[in-house]
Amino acid sequence: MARPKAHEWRTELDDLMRGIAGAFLFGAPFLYTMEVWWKGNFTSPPRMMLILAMAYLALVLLNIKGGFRAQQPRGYGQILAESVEGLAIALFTATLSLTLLDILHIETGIDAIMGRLITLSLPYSIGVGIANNILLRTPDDNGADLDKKRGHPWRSTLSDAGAALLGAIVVGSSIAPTDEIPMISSSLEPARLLLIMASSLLLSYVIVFEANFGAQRQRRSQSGLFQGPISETVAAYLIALAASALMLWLFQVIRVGDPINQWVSYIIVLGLPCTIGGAAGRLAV
Amino acid sequence: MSEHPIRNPAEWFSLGISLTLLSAVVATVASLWLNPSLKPAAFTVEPGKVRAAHDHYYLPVTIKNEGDATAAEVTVEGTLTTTSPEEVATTTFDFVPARSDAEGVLIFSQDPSAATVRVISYQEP
Repeated sequence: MARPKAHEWRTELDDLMRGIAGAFLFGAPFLYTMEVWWKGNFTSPPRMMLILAMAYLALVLLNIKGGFRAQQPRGYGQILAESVEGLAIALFTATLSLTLLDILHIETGIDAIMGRLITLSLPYSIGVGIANNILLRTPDDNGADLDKKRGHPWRSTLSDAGAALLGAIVVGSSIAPTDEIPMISSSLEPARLLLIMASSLLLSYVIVFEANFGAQRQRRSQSGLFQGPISETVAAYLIALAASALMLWLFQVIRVGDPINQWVSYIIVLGLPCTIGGAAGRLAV
Repeated sequence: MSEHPIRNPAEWFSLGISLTLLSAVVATVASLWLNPSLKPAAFTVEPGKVRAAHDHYYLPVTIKNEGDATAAEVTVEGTLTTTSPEEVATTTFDFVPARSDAEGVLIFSQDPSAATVRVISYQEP
């Protein structure tokens, strides 16, 4: 067998990142639902198997028209193989995100760990299965977009900022008033908050610039404040944090007199789904 | 192209990793399934080091569920009989999954070094 070429690895990485991004996009509201973790505490092994089988079946059905690989069309073998990878991505992403929020620890016990992982992997699988439908743009889209945007740096900056804000509100507003925010925040140490911030920035970058290899070159060539990948990611994160703060205050989860560390941790914890929503929003404009 | 389900070595690589991960997960679930240890929830409670603050004494307790069933609403009670009247403090854990630890704190107004701590109730979820 020939050695894989560099561009094949590149495409493969893009595809896998797109899968992870899709899982987070669809799965964030489930990740921030304590009942999902609790149900995982007493899920019996036969039910775990059933959930895995359902996730695989959902992936097979979704992969016929969606999936996370850019290259089409597919044969039956490819659909089945891609579904195996999709399920693995969902389980991997579920492990990563639950560990990040400190919901999985070693002391949790193997039954509960497997239960929580597998319960969460079902919505994540659906996210992987529809990753192409939300994240992949065809080259045609880019051309039209590019013509429309070039030469209007302020307008494109404003439209990107608006899209980031809108996306943050769409995803974040259903999470902001819930008890999960204080619950997750209360158990987090400062180091973990930094880790969540880093993950938010990385995910935002991956969703907009990596998982979307068709539009990536086009975005990098746009003009306006938002168009350097790093500056756009940071600016979008700040917008997500501002939206997060505003929603938490509106829903009276935090009040003006509350201690500063409570503000900071709540905003960062809600900032993660807000950033994911903002990234999806920026892709949509 | 579609007669080859996998197009290049990079795809073989991720399929290989995915299959390894999935088989590990399925094997773990299968072993949990095939070795059902039906020991009901059983607890040990370990009092920690007492800490004093604002005229009260904080007694950390570590509870360990050594059974194979998850317990909900696990209530731990600490009783201090050296005072009169005797002093009681309780705390409730939402969930203590099978073979896992949880920590809570009981608060007394007297030094609780001699207090006895035990689980007084739990619910089967």
